[in-house]
Amino acid sequence: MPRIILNRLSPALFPKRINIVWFVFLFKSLSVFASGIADLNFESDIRPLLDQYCFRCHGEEKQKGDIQLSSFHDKRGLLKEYKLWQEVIHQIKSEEMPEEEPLPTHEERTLLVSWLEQTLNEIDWSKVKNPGHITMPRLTKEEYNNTMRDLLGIDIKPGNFFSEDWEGHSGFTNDRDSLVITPVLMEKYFAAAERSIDALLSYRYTPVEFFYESEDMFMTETRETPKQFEGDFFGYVINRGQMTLYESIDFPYDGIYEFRIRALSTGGPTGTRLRINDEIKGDIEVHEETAGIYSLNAFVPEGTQQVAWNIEVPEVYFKAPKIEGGDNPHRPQSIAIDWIEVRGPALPEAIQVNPLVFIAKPGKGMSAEKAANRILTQFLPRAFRRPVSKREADRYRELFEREMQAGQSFEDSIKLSLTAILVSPHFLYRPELEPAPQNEPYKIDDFQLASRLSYFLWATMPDEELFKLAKAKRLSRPGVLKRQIDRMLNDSRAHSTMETFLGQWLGYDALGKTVFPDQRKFGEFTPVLNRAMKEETFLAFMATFQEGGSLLDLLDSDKTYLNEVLAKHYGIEGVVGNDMRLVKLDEPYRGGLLGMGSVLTATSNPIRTNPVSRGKWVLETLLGNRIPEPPADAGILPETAGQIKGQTLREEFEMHRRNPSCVDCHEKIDQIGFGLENFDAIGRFRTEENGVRLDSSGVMPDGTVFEGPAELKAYIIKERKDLFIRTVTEKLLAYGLGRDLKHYDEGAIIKIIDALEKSGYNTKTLISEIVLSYPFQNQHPNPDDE
Amino acid sequence: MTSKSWHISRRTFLKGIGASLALPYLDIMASPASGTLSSATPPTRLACIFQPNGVFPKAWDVSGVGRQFELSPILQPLRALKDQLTVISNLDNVGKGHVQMTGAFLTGNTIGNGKNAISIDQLIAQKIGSETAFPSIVLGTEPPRQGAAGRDPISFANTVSWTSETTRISPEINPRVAFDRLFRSQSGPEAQRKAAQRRSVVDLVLDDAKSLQRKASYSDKHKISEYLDSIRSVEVQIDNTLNPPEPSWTPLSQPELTRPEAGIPQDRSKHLKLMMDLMVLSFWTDTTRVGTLMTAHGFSRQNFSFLDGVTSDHHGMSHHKNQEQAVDEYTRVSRWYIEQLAYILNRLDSIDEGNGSLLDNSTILYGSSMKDGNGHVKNNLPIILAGGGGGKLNPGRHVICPKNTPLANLHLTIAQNYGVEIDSFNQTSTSTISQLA
Repeated sequence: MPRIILNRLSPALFPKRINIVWFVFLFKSLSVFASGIADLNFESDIRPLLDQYCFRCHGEEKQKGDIQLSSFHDKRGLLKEYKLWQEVIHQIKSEEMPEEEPLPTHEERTLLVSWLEQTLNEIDWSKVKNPGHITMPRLTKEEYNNTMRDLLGIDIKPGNFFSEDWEGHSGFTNDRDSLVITPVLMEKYFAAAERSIDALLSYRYTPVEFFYESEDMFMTETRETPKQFEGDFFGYVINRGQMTLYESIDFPYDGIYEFRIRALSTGGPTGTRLRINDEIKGDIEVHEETAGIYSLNAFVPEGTQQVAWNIEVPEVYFKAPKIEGGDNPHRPQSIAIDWIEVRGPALPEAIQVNPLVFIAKPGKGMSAEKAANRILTQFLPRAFRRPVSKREADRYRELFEREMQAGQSFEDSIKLSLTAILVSPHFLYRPELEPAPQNEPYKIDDFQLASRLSYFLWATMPDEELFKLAKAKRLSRPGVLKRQIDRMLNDSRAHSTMETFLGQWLGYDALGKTVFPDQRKFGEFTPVLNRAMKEETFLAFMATFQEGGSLLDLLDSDKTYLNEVLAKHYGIEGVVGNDMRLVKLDEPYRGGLLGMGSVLTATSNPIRTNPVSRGKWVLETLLGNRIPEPPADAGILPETAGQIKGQTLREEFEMHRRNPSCVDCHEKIDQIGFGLENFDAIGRFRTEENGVRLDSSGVMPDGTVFEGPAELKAYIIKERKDLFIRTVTEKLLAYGLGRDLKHYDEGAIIKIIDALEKSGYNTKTLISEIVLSYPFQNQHPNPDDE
Repeated sequence: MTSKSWHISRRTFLKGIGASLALPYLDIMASPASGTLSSATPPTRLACIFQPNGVFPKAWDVSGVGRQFELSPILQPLRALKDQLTVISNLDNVGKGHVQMTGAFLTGNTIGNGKNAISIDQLIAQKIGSETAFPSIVLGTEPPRQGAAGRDPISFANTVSWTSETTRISPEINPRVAFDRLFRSQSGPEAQRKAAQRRSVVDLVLDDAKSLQRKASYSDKHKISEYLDSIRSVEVQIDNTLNPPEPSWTPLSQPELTRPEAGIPQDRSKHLKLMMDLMVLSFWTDTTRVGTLMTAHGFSRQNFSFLDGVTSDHHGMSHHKNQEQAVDEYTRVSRWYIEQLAYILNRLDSIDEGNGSLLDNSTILYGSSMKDGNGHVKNNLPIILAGGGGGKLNPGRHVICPKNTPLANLHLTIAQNYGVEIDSFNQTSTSTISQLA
């Protein structure tokens, strides 16, 4: 079993000096007293040494780098902070610490290191049987929207008005520990449930109709004028992303409204996107150059809403054929719109023909009670994602019956039962109750596994196939699971999960939402470019996972996904049109994460690059190091730095951080950051800055010299591959479980990495190994029990 | 189902939906309330307004003491309101860095292991909140941010309101959603009908939760408790709607409530003013008596280049290293924040409540959780109290506390002013601040 060395502190990652003599000494002396090491006692033999050399910076008084070692009193405590003590070993071994006199003798170092290593590293992790405890999962906002979609059959995103979920210690918003229910959220759950059922019952209302000629609507680009086409077709042509056709409309009821447009393409496939109150409601694709009527359904809450149409249609990407380089015949063209009509509320035809909820209605030969019974019998197990006993179901039926007896209509009565189901803790949470109180790990049942799997890969409830396999108790078989993973990864439901995971792991989620490059300096950074950047990263990952490519392809590749806007931004010729497609890259610096605009822009300041933040991103986010916070008074380079003519930012920077307390850490971070200086603050390639040639070379601690991003990338793949693989594994495992990883997960991590090495770092192996892992298939009723 | 008699709350009066926008420059066309004047004394409200990233000390510190004090450059926008201010010096925060210090702003407590303590606004909401439709409102302007600072999630700095050591209140940043929640969900026949239906749903799912709690493992029981607490709070709201309590205070005048435009305004000043208008409206109509406003996230990187002479983001400029340009920008932004404070104080002051203005009947706590952002300085915080605190405060003064007075001493003093019987706040206070009376 390979042992991955955990380099968690940056100084240890790049040791300043390697003391050969000391290693020889250690090697020899170990054999001499190895037998005695195990007999040593932490409190009486080890702790005094720590007290003498470590506690002055990491004790009661001072906690440098937020680390305190004096609170540990036994082996068990050490094991619980396994990663922290791995760092300690490397600090002592590499003689990085202590930094100042008094220093331990060679013998003392040897003793400390060998005792700690023996204690920590010789654990047989395969014998540590603790799957950990996943806090009873509350649905995230995203999971709630998706689950309601699959449960009701209408995609109305009723949870969009919930507050955002906050990420917990795992760094992800699906961290179950941090997902709380507050009184305000509870109120919103009621409103969302009532609105959604109302939308399904909207056939009860008298529909309304609004009609707008395109030329009467508000056009954001005031210099544009409507144009005459064949026949009576007269209206605006939308040919760029920022052009928006806009109208403010009063909607009388909550419900699903049909939006119809008369439109034509001015050449080739095109389309338009509907936004209501800045929320994307859907896209209409238009391929014909003659006028046609197209339609789209969207849920709209009652009240005055801002309805806007423009030309962005990213969904086209998934359908467009992949073309390497060259022109794409399927380039979206401009769209002309003649008029827009809004009708509703009304249910989409699909749900009328094949309803998921209202499968029965009172009428001939069907009493209200019987109809309600049929509806609830189908709805309950789907909503609770498990079989539901008759006794349990009866309680919800009684609610219906009471309402009927009080003289309410069938619809209002059944609505109440359905609302109760949708605000029940059995729906809002996914309880995984222990079969019997025993305080021991247990294997979760097939229905619970189906939910864990579908919320991991789809961020939604299981579908019929998963339910069927769970019912037959076949889902937990490894072969069946692997086939299901394959199927699920190739389903479009996997997209939103991947986007969430990437945005939160790589940290570009906020880009274009709350983080923007300065618009005066970087006017090129438009919402269209921003979307293309995020799509590039998403598509590169999605394709790699769907095709079972190597994880290392994510770091370096000679291909990437581009559209015209992004290709031009990167200085690549010959890519035409809005659709993203696979493009072969000629330049070695661009492929892989380190050459992607999303990452490069998200790690920059508004008006300049930030080499520290880029270096830190590589070390922390990609390679899993923990870099201590700088002291508060360290100061940062002003935002306006990097504007001096005849001087690069790097030169200015190196002047700035001559302070000896800064230079140590920064040397490690900045070498990497400056290696990426060939990319400007929005990811464009450059060789000069302020009229001076950029120096993007660097020296790694082992003496390797590199020149520019391509060689930096190659170095990371060659020398830091293990760290990258471990980091991806840990992140995805934490995301899959919905909790922060603990020391007892080490066994699972080692097993996954082992399988990854054997498979050539196959992305599908990563997913299937996570799903087959001990913590994913088991649950401990109480956390942190050894 | 029996139809309960209902009445449109006298406190709220809804204008037609979609009418022209009166907010944010709230039309104070107050009309006298129908009926007789209430003989009751107006209630005392509490607003806590948080400003991120500290201030440049030399530009904030006021000179003089007691009634003889001069406003500093940053505080100039408050000139006309000087008699309503109590500027307090020498209060110290705890913790380090933006996340911990923001977390401590209303709790006086250091965040550790993802836990904080109850905040002063929520403590007071628990005490006086049952008399109004909402115990408190918590408003903000920036969406939550992700990532970690040291060991604490940055998202902890998204709020200063904590109802318990583990439960934070996420500020509402959408003006229309906040408005609807405050003013549209509470009255009318539709609300009555909904309330009656929800009542029966609540009974059912309460049973669900109780039985789940019995079966859940020890460590999941607290999750179900969250659910139970929340559903019970919904239950209380329902009961209040079905049987509205006789209001203990009837405003002398009523605002016209116009629903804000949908969406979040791009213009930062407009957005913040809208949120402040909502707070004024909810105090005025006695919809709530406790309001908290995050003018921005505790780690705010808000780009202020819309201000003259400012080129960068707030957090960036707060680490100014005493460079002239950065200090100048930093101070311009601080002053902008004080202009916003002046806006809400003027609004409150313009509403007559008989015995004085709404501002006289309020305690407004304004401040930042650090002094100089450059060093995350926690001593001598920039803190202002505004308003008369319902007679408990004696404004128009600069109060200098002894050096290193815990911020929690201010929290404790406020708590006692609102009738909360405690003699220590979150174990970090040492005494009350007697000079405030």
